[in-house]
Amino acid sequence: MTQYIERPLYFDSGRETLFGVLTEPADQPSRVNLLAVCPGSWIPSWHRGRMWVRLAHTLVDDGVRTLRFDYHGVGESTGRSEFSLEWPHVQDADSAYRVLMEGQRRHPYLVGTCFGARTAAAFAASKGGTAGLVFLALPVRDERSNSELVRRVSPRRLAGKLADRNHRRRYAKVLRSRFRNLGLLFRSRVSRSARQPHNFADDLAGIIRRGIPCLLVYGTADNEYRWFQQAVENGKLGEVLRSGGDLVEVKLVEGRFHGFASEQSQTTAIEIVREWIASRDEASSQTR
Amino acid sequence: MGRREGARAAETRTDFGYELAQFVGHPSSAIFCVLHVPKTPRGGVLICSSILNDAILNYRREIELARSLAASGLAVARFDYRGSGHSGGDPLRMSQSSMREDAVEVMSVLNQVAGPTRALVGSRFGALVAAGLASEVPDGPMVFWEPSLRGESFFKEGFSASKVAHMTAGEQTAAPLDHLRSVGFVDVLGFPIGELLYDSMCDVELVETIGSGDRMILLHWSKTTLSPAESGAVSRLETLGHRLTVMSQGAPKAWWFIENKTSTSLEAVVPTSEWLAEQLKQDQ
Repeated sequence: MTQYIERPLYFDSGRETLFGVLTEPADQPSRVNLLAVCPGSWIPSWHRGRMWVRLAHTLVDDGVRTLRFDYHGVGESTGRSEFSLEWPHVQDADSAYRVLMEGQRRHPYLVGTCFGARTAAAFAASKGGTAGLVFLALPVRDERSNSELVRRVSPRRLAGKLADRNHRRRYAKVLRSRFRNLGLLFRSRVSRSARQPHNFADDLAGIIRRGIPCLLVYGTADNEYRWFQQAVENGKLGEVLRSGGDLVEVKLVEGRFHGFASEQSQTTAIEIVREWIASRDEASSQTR
Repeated sequence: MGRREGARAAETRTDFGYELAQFVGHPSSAIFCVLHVPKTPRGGVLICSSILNDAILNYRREIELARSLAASGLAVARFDYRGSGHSGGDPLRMSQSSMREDAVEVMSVLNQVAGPTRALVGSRFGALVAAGLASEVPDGPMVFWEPSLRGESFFKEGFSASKVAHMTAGEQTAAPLDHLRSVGFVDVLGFPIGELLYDSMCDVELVETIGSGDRMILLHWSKTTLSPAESGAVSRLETLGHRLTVMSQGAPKAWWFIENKTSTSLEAVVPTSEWLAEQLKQDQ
């Protein structure tokens, strides 16, 4: 196994100080850069089961240099944070990206899971400068999609649905999210015109326009996969995916994958990321 | 804000002084630790964290406690045990002795900037580690957040939580202990527990480890009613001669499940910080 060096870093993101750890091969030059983008839920950047740490330590064998970082309000970073899929932490990702790319020439890969995948998507759609994207268990259903589903239901059908506890929970979640989003907008110091909520279909369209290859990975038992299928069948996402052609790949893993609540799912994720980056890296070196 | 970086350390200036994040020890099994250092430290406090999902749920409030203590003039060291968090090492090689070694090494780093360590904090499973360091901080106050009273009870909680998660997902799994004995580890909600850790910590008991003495001890629980075991531990510590402050406030937490959009409650931070600052002022 290749030896590695790990270096802690503090860097600015707006008015906050973020923390990250850069992992580099110790005895060979690095060829590829990777930004690991965390999920929400205040999970520090080592991630459940130390998955991002394991990923970084594994990828040094392939000459990959990885930065994992804490969002503002999370882990060692300063500030307070809220998590909403429509408002991914693009500024934090941008700040981490700049740190990773200091003195580097090759665009990095971004790997994100859940909220982190949405953040990576929003970042790449707006900023580009990315060699490829891996989205692990990306939730396509944001609160706007949930609201749309709620609006489509007739009052009689709604009453019937509210008899079901799971539906009550979902509607309550929509209402809470609406209030929270209003609160976020009110508290934000950036004018509304400069800060638009994100939805994945639009972000993916932006990624495709920039010609950035991406891989979406889901577990067959994940809710996130069910939502993805529904969005592809019923909404704009299907059109966007078809427009991407070979640029967008979808890979399925048997069972639960979201949340990496098993060592096996973490190992599978690491293997998938490693293989995909290696194949992209080989493909891009052949075209040079 | 001013920053400095070295090969394995980075420092950032704060209102109270500075924070220094560093990797200590051999690169392949380095201990990640963070020092929160005031301008003029009047002693050090070591925080021993929990492990597994617990560590995630407690992470931020331990940082907030460290920053609050540093603002009151106490230097604080926090760290990830080897095999956990940002630290190197193999999680299957974690054991009672490795966790103690890590804590002692970090304590020596803390001592270099703050003088002798004057107090210990342990949250959940980390309480058992902190208790084991009592001899390193003679007569110093100790703080325990939702302490695990016995290693075995912590592991049992984890196994139950894991079983619930599997049942909810419609998955069949082997009994955790059977799996542990046959394969050498068991996966608890995405974290491996190795045989070394299980066997070395199973019988460790908080009260027995602390032993008799005359310490000031703060026990904080995020709930209003203590279990019989917890009340029993309080009584035994008092019988052993320690002077206790017991705080039980707030709503109970599900320590094993990370729900989306759940922030860690910080209600224990201020009372703990004030209590410790007061104890250490009196000790001067």
